[in-house]
Formats: sequence, structure tokens, C-alpha cells
Amino acid sequence: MKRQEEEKLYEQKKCGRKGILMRLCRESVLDEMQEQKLLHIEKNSFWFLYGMLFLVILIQISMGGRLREAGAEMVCFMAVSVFMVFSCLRQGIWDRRLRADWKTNLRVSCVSAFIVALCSFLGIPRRNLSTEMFIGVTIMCVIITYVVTFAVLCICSHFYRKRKEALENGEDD
Amino acid sequence: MAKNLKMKAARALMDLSQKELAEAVHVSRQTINAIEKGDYNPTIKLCRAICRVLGKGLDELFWEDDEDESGEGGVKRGSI
Repeated sequence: MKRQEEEKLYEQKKCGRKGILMRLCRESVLDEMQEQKLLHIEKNSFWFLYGMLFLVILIQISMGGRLREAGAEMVCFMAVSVFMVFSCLRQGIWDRRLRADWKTNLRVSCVSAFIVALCSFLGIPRRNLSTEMFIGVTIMCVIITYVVTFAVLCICSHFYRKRKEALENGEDD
Repeated sequence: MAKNLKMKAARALMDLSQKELAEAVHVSRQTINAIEKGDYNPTIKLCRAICRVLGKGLDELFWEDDEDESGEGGVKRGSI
């Protein structure tokens, strides 16, 4: 205890008042279990917020709003998504359950194309189009979504594999 | 996870309350309570701090026999 106090005093002398304030701001007052619980709460809050944001975008568009009107929400959503993807790739993480192979890419692309088809048939982007035109546009959207998603997933999984290999084959300290 | 009765016994032997032990290892009382109840798996750093305060070895407090390992996450010999 005495040693800790001495260390504290030394730190105070070394840093001055501003330094102490900065140190106080940086130091966590939580212990390891509380820290884990807080991380868990933050994780749940994040996914709740992420889902709600997605829902808000869908509702705004389905209520007849233009894409531009949901622009701010979309930018936030995309920024968070891109940040998450890059952060995971940097750490060599793909997913908890899914493997980074072409089968997964095909399946996920199918799911995204299905969601686009569902949104189309629910009438989200339907705006004064004839039935033939609507079906044509929907099919095009589904194909484009499928191809783009598959391409993006293939690129990401390629970078993931390279990064994972680099991390696994790194030199020992 | 199984209850950590060995830690509870060692703490009682030293006549320490959960709060006193928590203060000694710089964590909250709820963390000590959770460890004793088997609700939380402490890090090796905290295990060592607890052992130091209670005057016991890691094996004595956190080693689980095969029949005690009734859940995931317990501190096992291989993981230390």
C-alpha cells in the first residue's frame, strides 16, 4: 500500500495537474468482471442500434421516401458496416460460425438476393411501374445484388485468408 | 461452472469478508461473490492476486478435479 502511495505521489509530481486529469480520464474504475459485463451490454446495445437503424431505413423507403431522404442513416449504416468489416479483416476474424469459403459466399449472396426480391415484392421501391417492367427491374436488382455480394464476399474472404495466414505464420517473440 | 468452495473456505480461514478480500485485490465485492458462486471465471492475473492475499497456491484454490469440472471455462491445469 505504501509503495502504491509513493508511486502515486511520484506520478503526481511527474505529470502535474493536467497530467493527473488526463490519467484519471484514461483509467477505468471498473474491475475485470464489470468490464466484461459492460462490453456485453455495449455489444447488445450495438446490435440493437444496428438493427433499428436498418429498420428505420427500410421504413423510410417503404413509406414512399426517396433514397436521398434516408441518406444520413444510410451513410451511418454503411460507415459502421465498413468499419466492422475492416476491423475484423485486420484481426483475421471472419465469423463465429461461418467459414470463409465459396459455399458460404454463395449462400450469403443467395440470402441477400432473396432479401432484395422480398423488398421488391413487398412494394418498397415500386413506383408507377407496369407489371412487366416491375418484374424486369426486380430480376435485374436480384441478379446485380447476387453478383455484387458474391464478388465483395470473395474479395473479403481472400483478404481474410491472407491476413490470417500472415498472423498465424508470424515470428515468435 | 462449479462453486469455488476452496476459495470460500480459505477466505473464511483468514477471517476475511468478501468485501475485505475484494479491497485487497482491487476488485468489487460482486466479482469475489461471482467467483465463489462459480458465475465468473477470473483471469490468471486476478487468480494470482487472490492466491497471494489468501496465502495459497493456484492449484489449491483454482484446480478442479475431473468430477468438479461440471461446466465450461473452469481453470484447468493445461490452461495455466
